[in-house]
Amino acid sequence: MIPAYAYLWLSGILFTIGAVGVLIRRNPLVMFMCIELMLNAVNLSFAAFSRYLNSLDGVAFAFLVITVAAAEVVVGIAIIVQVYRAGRAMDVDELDLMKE
Amino acid sequence: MIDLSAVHIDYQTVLPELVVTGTIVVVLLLDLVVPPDRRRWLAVVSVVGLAIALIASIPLWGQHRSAFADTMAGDSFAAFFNVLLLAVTILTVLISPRYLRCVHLDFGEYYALVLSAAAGMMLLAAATSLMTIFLGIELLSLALYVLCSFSRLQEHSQESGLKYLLLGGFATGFLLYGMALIYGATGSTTLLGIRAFVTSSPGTNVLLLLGIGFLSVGLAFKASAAPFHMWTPDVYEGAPTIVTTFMSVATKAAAFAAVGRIFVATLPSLEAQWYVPLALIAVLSMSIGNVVAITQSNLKRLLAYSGIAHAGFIFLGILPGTTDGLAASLFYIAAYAAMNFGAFAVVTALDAKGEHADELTYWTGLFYRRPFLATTMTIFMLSLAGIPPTVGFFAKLFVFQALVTAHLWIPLIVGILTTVISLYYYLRVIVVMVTVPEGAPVEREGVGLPMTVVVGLSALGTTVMGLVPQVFGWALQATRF
Amino acid sequence: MLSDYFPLLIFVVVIVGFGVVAIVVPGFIGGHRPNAAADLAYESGIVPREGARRRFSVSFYLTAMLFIIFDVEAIFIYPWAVILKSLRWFGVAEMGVFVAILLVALIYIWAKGALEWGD
Repeated sequence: MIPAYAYLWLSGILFTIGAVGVLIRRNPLVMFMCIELMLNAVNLSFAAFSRYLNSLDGVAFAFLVITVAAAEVVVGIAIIVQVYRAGRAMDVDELDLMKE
Repeated sequence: MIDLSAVHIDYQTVLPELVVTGTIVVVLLLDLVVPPDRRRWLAVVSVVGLAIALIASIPLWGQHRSAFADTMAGDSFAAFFNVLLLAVTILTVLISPRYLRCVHLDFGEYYALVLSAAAGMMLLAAATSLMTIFLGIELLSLALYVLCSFSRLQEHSQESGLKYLLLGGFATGFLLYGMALIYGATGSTTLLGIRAFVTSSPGTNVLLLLGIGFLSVGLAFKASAAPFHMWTPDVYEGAPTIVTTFMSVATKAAAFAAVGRIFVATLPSLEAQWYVPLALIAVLSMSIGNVVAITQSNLKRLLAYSGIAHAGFIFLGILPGTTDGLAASLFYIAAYAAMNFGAFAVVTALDAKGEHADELTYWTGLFYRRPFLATTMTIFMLSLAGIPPTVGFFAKLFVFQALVTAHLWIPLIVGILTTVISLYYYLRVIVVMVTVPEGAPVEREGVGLPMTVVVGLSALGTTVMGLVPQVFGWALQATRF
Repeated sequence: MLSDYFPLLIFVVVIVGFGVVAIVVPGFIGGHRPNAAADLAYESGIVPREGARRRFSVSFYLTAMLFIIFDVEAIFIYPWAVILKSLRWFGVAEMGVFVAILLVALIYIWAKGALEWGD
């Protein structure tokens, strides 16, 4: 069986990648994806602790995080789309998301 | 068969939150059937719902309820914050319809979003589990992200919402990681369980301390305390003024409710470990807020930095780690709510009329144009500066007193010094208002009855609250967990 | 221990084998008459109008957002369904409230026209 600390290391590394990503990327959409990575790293921690402690609280918490993250994505995408439409007078169709 | 009695379902504990949530649903559905020119009825329904929730909060005073598997508390602390938050929300909704019509933002979603934010804040104030704390913070944040970018055609508002969203999401990540580590270290997500673990097993637990550190970052961000305050001026400036008015007061109060429950009620035995980081947050907030505010020429930004400084003062009361210190913080929050809400309400009143009313130059000679607004603004400024006999003076006095009792001299000295510095920019606003303007005076329309009443009430609260000794007594009783 | 995984091995071999057969064999037994229609991307018999790398309209994002939110909220129904029998009518009532709130949201976005594919 894979030891608990391996999951915690992975979760920590993912969280760091996400946090560094938010700090160095300048495209709002990419920054937003990095935030989602941070939240999912936390979910991994919760699941690992939950298994290790043999309690269901962590899994329940992860459920909440998933749903809240979904709500955050929806609000976030809505605001980002709106910024490009109203602020920069630029149609979202003109956005090239793959190039930063 | 699952034993539901262990979960302890108790609807009375969460009745205020339930009432507000129900009002959200009603307002959303009403918005679909009410014609656009009758939108003020949405405000009326919202105020009625909020008032019922306020009445439902009062029976919680003096109780020690704990429900839903120890995730929600129904106690004086929750009642204190519920009354404060609901009062602020009611005042906000009262002055909203006229402002929204003036700036062409009269949409029904606005009320549902303000109510959602209020529900999140109340949830946060009553939360006694990491899960409910997280839910409360997210509910209030998500509603506020949308409210900040509510002005769909204004670039500033959009940018404000986007900045708040990205930095807020970043802070949420830290908050959650801290919660995960605390859960891993203590094996519990309820504050009761965490407290039991901390008191039964003393000694340094790196995982737990790291978790508390991350959690504090997230909470300090929501309370806009330095060094996690960078978003505050931009977001406050860009958001519609009515939203700034609401969030500058209510978000801070709700975030401090969580800080109080976590640090003073749950982790007093770890005070030696959390004292230095929290003291740094308080000292940095007071210094940065008060010094940078001097250079601001935009009133919304000035008040944003002033808010950062006041967050520092509120943190001071937490530092002794005692419930008496926390009571001083609670009193400070109530005082801050009255005076800061009033100050921003005056900005809102002017913003609805003229363009760039948030620039300080617009305020030149306000005394001769709008004597009522200028007089009340003077009261708010004097109170924010901490000049007796306003409530701002007593708030600072109680907090400093708590520091003296605990022999915490360095934060005390910084607090006094920065208070002196802050006099400069608060008094400057008053000086600008009494300066005789060049040229003919401009418009002199009224600001509407609701605004006059709300600003008047805030001014009354600011002058009287400090002179009524019962208020501090309530704050004291609210901290008897 | 290792033998426990033997069925899994067979499973993997069958899957990979089927894929290889399905790709390689038609090359030998099928005819080759290259023309413009045969070289088009296969989209269930519909003639493709443009390349796959086109940009999506805003309506797509709006619909996707609404889908995500309603889709993910269903996550709470799974653990509820597992213990529904022991929760009895209390569980049914609580889930009824939850779904009713989601329903209000759906009615709201419907009435606001968010479900129209705006052109």
